This record gives sequence, structure tokens and C-alpha cells, in this order.
Amino acid sequence: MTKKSSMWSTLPGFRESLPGLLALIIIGIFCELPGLPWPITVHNLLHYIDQVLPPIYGEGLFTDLLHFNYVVISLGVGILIRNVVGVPRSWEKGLSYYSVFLHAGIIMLGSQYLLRDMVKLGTLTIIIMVVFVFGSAALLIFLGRLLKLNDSLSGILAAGFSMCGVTAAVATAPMIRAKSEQLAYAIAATVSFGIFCLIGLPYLGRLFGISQYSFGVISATAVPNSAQVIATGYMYGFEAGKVAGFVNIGRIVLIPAGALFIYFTAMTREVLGGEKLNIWQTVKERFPIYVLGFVVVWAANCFHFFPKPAVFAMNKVMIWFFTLSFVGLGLQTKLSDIRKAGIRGAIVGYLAGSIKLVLAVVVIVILMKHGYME
Amino acid sequence: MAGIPEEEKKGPGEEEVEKQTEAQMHRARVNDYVAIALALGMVLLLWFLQWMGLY
Repeated sequence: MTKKSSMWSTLPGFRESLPGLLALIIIGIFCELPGLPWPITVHNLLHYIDQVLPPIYGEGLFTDLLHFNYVVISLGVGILIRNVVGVPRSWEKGLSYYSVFLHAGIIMLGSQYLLRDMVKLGTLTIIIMVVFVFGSAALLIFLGRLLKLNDSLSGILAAGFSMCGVTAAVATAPMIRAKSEQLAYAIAATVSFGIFCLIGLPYLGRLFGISQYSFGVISATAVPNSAQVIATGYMYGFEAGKVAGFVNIGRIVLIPAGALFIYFTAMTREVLGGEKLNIWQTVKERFPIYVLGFVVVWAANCFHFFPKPAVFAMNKVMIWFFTLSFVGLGLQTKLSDIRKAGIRGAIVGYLAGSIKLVLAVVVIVILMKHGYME
Repeated sequence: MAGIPEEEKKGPGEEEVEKQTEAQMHRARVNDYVAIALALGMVLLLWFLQWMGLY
């Protein structure tokens, strides 16, 4: 009973969350929430600028060439506000709800899939995802040993870079005896690497002519943070975002197994001092429950429980949730984190992350060329 | 576990991170429940409104 009440006490109260939540909603409305009759949006402004400016190679600068969609706009506006104007302290509690909106959006993503989408995803994509999760964790631990990094730091960086960034790092930290500064460091390194992926990967994808489907798989394989995975996917296109979200679900499910893998490979006996780990307890505590919500909505859609207009409306609401979460993510992204990540650990993390990213692009482009992937 | 006193096994930073991560994991779990309630509530509401013929 005490455990339960302490769990719910971690949720900030309504009154203290209100300023941040209102800020999220108001900024979200100005960025553009689809279906809402509100014309004064950043999206419409950019559209207007494109019409006023002379076209470049016959195309508009923001909408056609730079592909500024709702993801870029909501993230960009959030990052701009945080790093140029700053965010009041009173917003912080409400902004922490951004992951609630992200998870709610992922659950509603289930309404956009049918059984044939799962079949289309195929065993090949699942194998790629599993190999990249465990392979990149092993690579990071190996590089950490090579550069004589502390076991706990290598382990926590491996968790952040191989699985779902912040969530995975937090889930693994107590198992591998990471210190608070190591956890903060790993979070800063994964988030800052994700920022580079977010900015660069869609342009790289267009340069190589990667299909929407394959780009979705690349995002879910190479980008560390769940929110950044989905943002990168949707930056490339709707289909890529859908695939990225679906594949990322598999990666989220792997968190308990990945954490155990890192525990057994990264930690030396001297550090653990003969300590025994309760595997079932570890899996139970670290399983992300909201995945079950996704499965429920997806199963209901597979049985055609929702009529078409409802599925269409769910898509719009899903975009609302994602927009709010991207605004929140932007408002929490401090560009100074890139500097804070320091040098040695960041080299290991960035090196492993870059190798994983290049390998993911190469493997998927080869599979695409040979017709194994769309 | 014999022979290894508790204070030798865990440094001050580790205890702090244990508390910090426990709170973060509890918050993550609560966030999951809130997200499930929000998303499933929204799905049911949209389905119900459609069933009523309101859109």
C-alpha cells in the first residue's frame, strides 16, 4: 500500500502542472493542431512566406525544400523558446507531461495499423532491430573497455545508445551501480546525439533516395530516444513515422532483456561483489506497461472494431498528442547539453552511435537494392 | 552476500542514484497509466461519437 501511494505521489499536482500544460497547448495551437479552425499558425505563416518569396527551382523554401512539417515546427519552436527566451520554472512540472502525450500518441498509433502491416513488417525487420539493439550495446561496452571507461559509465551509455535513450538509461542505472552524474551524463550524450540524428537523418535519407518504409526502420534502429525516433520518422513522411513508431514498440519491449544483457556483459565481478540479481523482478519492474495499450487498440482495429471515419479522427488526435509531446521535448532540449556531455564518454557514445547509424543505413540500402525491403 | 557490509558495496553517489531512479521509474509507471487512460478514453470517445452519428 505504501509503495502504491508513493508511486502516485511522483505525479505533480494539477495546480502546479497547469502553467506548463497550458503553455504546451497554447504553443501547440500556434504550431498547428490539424482539424482545429485556427488560422494564425506558424505552419500557415511559413506557407505564406513561401508564396511571397520567389520560388527556388520552382519550389517553396520551407514547405517543399526544407520539408517543415508539424514535427519540425513544433520541435523547432520549442527549442527556440527554451534556448533563446528561456522557460519559466513554473512550467517545468507541466512540461514533464510531454512523455504522457508521447505514450498516448504511440497507443493511438495502434489504430492506424492492421494485421497486414505486422505481416509486412516481417521477420527481417524484427531480426535487424534485435541485432542492432544487442550488437550496439556489445560494441559500446567493447569501446568503453578499449578507452578504459568505468564499467558503470560504459553500461549506462550502452543502455542509452542501444535502446530507447533516457528510459533505458534510467531503467538500467540502479542495476549497474551508476552514479547520478553518470546517469545525467548518459542522458545528455544520448539526447544530444539524437538532436544530430533529428536534424541530419531526413536529409541523408532524401540524398540516398531511401523509401518511406526503409527510413522508418532506420530511424527506429539508429536514433536512441523514442521521442526522437518518432519525430525523425514523421519529419521524413507520414508512412516513415508510422513504421518508425511500430518498430520502436519492439525496441521498447526489449528494455528488460537489454538491461539484463548489459548487466551481465558490462559489469565485472569485482564491481558487483558477488551480488545476485532477481531476473523476474527486473523484467517486471522495467516492462513498459503502455505497450499493452498499443496492443489493445491495434487488436481492436485488426477486428475492424472502429469505422473508417473514427480511424481518421483518431489519426488527427494522435497528431495532436505528438505535436504536444514534440513541443514539450523542444521546450526541454537544452543545446548546452551537447557541451555538457564532455569528451571521453561522448566520444565512445557518439562513435558507437555513428557506427550503428552508418551500418543501419548501409544494411537497409543493400536490402532495399536486393528487393528484401521496400 | 556474507562478508560484504552494505556500506562497502554502495557509494554515496550510488545510493542517491538508486533513490533518483526509483522515483523516475515510479513516475514513468504512473505516466504509462495516465497515457493509457488518456488514449483509451479518447479512442472510446471518438468511437462513441461516431456511433452516435455526430461526425
